Parts: sequence; structure tokens; C-alpha cells
Amino acid sequence: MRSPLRLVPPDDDDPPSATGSSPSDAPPATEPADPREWSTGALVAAAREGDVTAFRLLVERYYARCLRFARNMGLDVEDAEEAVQDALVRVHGALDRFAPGAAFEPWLFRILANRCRSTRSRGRWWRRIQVDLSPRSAHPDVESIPAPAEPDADWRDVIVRALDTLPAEQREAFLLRHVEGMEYHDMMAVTGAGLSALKMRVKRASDALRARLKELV
Amino acid sequence: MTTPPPPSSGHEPDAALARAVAALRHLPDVPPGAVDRAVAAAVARNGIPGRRSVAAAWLARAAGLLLAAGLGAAGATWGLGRGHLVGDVPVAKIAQNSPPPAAGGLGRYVAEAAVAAEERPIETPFVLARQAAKRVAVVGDFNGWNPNANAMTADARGVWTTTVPLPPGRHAYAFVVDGTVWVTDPRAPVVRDPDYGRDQSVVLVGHP
Repeated sequence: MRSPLRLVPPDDDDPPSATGSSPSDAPPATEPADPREWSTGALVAAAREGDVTAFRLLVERYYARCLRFARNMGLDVEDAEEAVQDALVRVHGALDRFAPGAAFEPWLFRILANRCRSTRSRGRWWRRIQVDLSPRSAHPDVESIPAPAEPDADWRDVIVRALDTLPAEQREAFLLRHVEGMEYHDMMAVTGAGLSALKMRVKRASDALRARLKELV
Repeated sequence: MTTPPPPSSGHEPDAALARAVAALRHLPDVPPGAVDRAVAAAVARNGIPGRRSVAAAWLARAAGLLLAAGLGAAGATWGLGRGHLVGDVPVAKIAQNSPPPAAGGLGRYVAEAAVAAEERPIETPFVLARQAAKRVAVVGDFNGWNPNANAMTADARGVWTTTVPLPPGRHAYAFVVDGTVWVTDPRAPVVRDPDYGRDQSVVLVGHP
């Protein structure tokens, strides 16, 4: 059953009419011929019209960043992949309610952040079991990536332990600002928090991490 | 996609924090097939936006016909009794769950009718070959894991079957044999519920 989506601002409950799309939402004539080189806005507009290839290109474009955010939010590999896929499914389901002309990335991360929060608070309610129990190497996943894929596994472990000490909202704000490189007004759209609250969260997270890293290193 | 540079702030992190940020920015490799799985799950769950538009247009026409047939001016839509159908979508359900159409249009009404069409249950078959069983039931998140809710019937070869109307989406289920034996579906993927430590099968239900 479709769950109520709290993924768009309340005033976006009504699907926008066809005439409600802003001209900037349609792929402009200047977009390259190769859809892989289209702007995100052009891909979103095409996906809204039912272009599955455009949606796939959006997924390709954002999957790794989404997975990074979910992992940095403290989800294990399996839960992170689940949260990312769930978020992308919800994005696809709400595309026709996506406010024309709005920025896609904060909307995507708002949905993803919701999924990460839900997953963390709920705990994993099911765990995928490999039906095919062939050797692990036959099913590479993030955990089986060779060590060089991680810049410094030990160092990352230290960082994760430091992040784990932060309150969830500080962790989220720090990651959005300093890892995802988001501007504060976009972070407000993602988190629903005000500007001063977000700045305070980022500052407190930075201070706490700085102190914690000194202890751990 | 490249990650944008760190925004400058009045509190530049020291070297350890900068190093931590650099490590956190490392992009994980995308697991093989993950993109395809996400796209397939999205389309299975939501359909294709263009097709939703076609469904909405069709339902608009159907709703218009009903209204023209004397079932109503917009206000009369609320009086529709149970059992009336638009296609196989219960009009009564739509009318009860929807606000009155806004003056001058059926937009909201039609949109919700389209959603109702997407979510209408699909008859989903369940099959288990178990010759020696005396009774078999399918249990799942759709019936509260109640072994008395969906009993299965056996044919002469001991193949137990039933169909259950399920809303589109992912459903976990299992079979209960003779009231005591928990059996997963050998034809379906298996997941484990960590809360109870037992395996479940999974079916993905969607409109074609």
C-alpha cells in the first residue's frame, strides 16, 4: 500500500498541472544530444514524463552519493543500500508531485534522510539472506571491495566511532554541510530545521568531532 | 559526479577534522546491479508516470460518464452507494476517501482515483508442494501472520494453492504446514526477520 509521503512540502500535495511546469523544467534546446550529459533538471523533467531511461540516469548520477550519505549516517552496508533504494523508489513515485523548478538534490536528500532516520530508529526489520550461498567473491558488494577502495580503513573506523558519538541531527547537519557540500538554505529544505539551528548543529558537531578525534588518534 | 568543495565557514576545521572530512567524502563503489534494482523496484512499485497520466485520463472520462448519467453533479458523487465500479475501482471507496471535487474541475478527484487504480489489489497465487501435509496456510504481513486467515487447498498430487489479493508492493510471507511447521517458499527469495530469527519469503507485487 502506498504510504503517505511526507516527501514534499505540504503545499505540494496536489500534483502540478501540465501547464504548471516552468519552462526551465523542460529539457532546453541547448541540452546535449547524449542524455547522459543532460542537466539534472532536464533528466527530472524527462523522468516526470515517463522516460525510464532518464530516471535511470538520475539514479546512476546520485546512487554513490546517496550510498555514501546513508553509510556516513551510520547504516551498515545492507541497511544503507535498502534506504537508498527505498528513497529512490519514493522519489520516482512522487516525481509528478515534485514542485516544478525546485532543486532536485535537496528534495532527494530530504527523502533519503527520512529513510535513514526511519531505518535507524526502527532497526532493521528484515535482513536479506543470499539464496545463492556461493563464495562471497561471486557476489561482490561494498564490504568486499578491496582495501584500496577505502582510503584508510583504520582511519575511517576512527572517524565513524567519532561520528557515532554525535546526536543524529548534528551528525546529519555536519555531513550535509561538510561532506555533501550543501548550502544552508538547501539544508533547511532537507532537514526542516531553521538556519540558526543548523549553523549551531554544524558548529557543535565540528567542535565535538575535533575533540573526539584528538582522543581517538 | 564530483562532490562540491567544502563550504567555507567561520570555523575551519583543523587538520584532523579536514582529514576526516576527506575520508568521509570518499565515494563508495556502487554495488553491481544496484542501479538496475532500484529502477526496477521503482517501476514495479509506481508504474511509469506517463502511464499514470493515461489512467487518470481514462478515469476522468469514466467519472464524466457517470456524472453525465445522472449519478451526479459533483455533490451527488458523495451519495454513491457501495458496489458501483469504475472499471474495477470501487467508486464508493474513492468517494468516501476523497474530498469533493473542487469547483471547476475534477483534478483532485481524478488524481486520487488514479492512485486508487494503481493500488488496487492483485490476485497473487501461492503454491507449495507438500504431499504429506494435512493442512497448509499462507501467512504474511498482509494477514497479520495469521495461520487461520488464508488456508490453502490441495490437489490430488499434494500441491497446495491459494490466491490472495495483495496491494502492489513487497510482501513477506511463509507457509505454515499442519499448524506447526514454518516453511519458506522454495521458489522465492528468502529474507530473515532479525526480531524473530526466522526466515521469510518475499514476493514483489505490481501491475504489469
